[in-house]
Amino acid sequence: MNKNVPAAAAAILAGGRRAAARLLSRAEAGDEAIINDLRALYRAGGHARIIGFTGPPGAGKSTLVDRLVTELRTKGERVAVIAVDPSSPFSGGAVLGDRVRMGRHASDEGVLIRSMAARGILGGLAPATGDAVTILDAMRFDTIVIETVGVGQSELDILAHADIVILLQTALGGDGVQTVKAGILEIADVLVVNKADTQGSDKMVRYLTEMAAHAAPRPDGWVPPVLAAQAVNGAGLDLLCDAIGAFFVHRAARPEVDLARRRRQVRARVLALTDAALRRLLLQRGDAGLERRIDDIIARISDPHDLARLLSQRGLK
Amino acid sequence: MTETSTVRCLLGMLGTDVHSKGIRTLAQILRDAGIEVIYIGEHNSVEGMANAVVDEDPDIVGLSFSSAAYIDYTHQLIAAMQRKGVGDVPVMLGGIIHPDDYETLRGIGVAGIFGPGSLMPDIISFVRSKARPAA
Repeated sequence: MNKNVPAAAAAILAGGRRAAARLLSRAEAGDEAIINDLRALYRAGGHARIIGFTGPPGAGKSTLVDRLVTELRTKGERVAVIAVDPSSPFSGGAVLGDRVRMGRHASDEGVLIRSMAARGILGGLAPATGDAVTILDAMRFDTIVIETVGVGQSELDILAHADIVILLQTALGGDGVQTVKAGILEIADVLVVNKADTQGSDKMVRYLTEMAAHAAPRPDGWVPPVLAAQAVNGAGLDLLCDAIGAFFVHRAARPEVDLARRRRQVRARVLALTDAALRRLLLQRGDAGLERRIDDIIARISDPHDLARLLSQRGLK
Repeated sequence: MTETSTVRCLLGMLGTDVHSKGIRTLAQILRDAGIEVIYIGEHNSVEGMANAVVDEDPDIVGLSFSSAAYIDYTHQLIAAMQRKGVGDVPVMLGGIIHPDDYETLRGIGVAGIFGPGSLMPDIISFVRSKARPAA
């Protein structure tokens, strides 16, 4: 590393956990002074395998992640977990409770768990998720697991960050009509029917298998497997690990598909950052020029398209 | 941006104490006061909780006790936090804390004590007062 690496980034590259945790808080706070740290860290990254877990609330995501982390640790991997829970739409507060299911890893230095609040973003992740990945990746964790908030049908932000998306479902996820609907089921690379001892689980496995078999062929040729599991006792975890392994083997054999996915992810991350910047720009108060343009729109001298075009072009300069 | 003032508060219990009603109630009340609670539940080890403080970077740590061993556990936690370089994060205590022990607890570095009869507004404003500046 050369002298141009800022202090916080240098501390993180040297493995400093407190420095990493602090930088992550500053990223969450939207602190623009850390841009150079993030730039240095991004350039040092690109090694971690990023596994996304998503699914409805209470489906068992945290418990399954806990199991997977245990398994990866026995293989000697260092693992980081980004666990996102929702923010209150009223107070902005949150109860981030995913760690409760992962307590056994708290004393293990090879595991880093960070809880994040979604802070008003509706895509299932926290606004600083991308920066969190950048930081943890630079710390040379072998695997980074991202757990989304409990989602519904169309929270798809996980696609922008994860190399593989694992979707949890349970027997209570509805009937065969639910499984042919568009949205989140389409983005899964592996489908897990958790709490498989629940009555109706076999039916859910069949619905999802049928859905996956009848879906339009994916560009990468991968057919998402459907597994039954019980995260609470580890049943089915071996199948999940095999499926994850098989997916990465499949992907590695198709570098052009892998590149396409990475390009899509970069676009999505840049879009999220641009979106946030535009939002800040537009929602600021007291900029005389902006206020005048808004009044011009009210007076019908101008229109919303004019201002939108102006803002996006200003951003490109 | 409003995010800069978001307070993160790590709440948890140490040892074999199972009386989690109080701490879960507090978690919800802090949530409704706009605070982000990192809730790590009961049965934590001292080492594990200190590690969580490092990785979660909270502005304050809250412990709840309904067992008699709180002086020893709190002492151990603060020592572990200091060893791990997070001794500057304030620690507050709640639950069944005897007034006779307040002085001892303050002596080992406890920043706030909320025993029986404490008022929620007091706890909330105490937690808020520990918000660090973002940078």
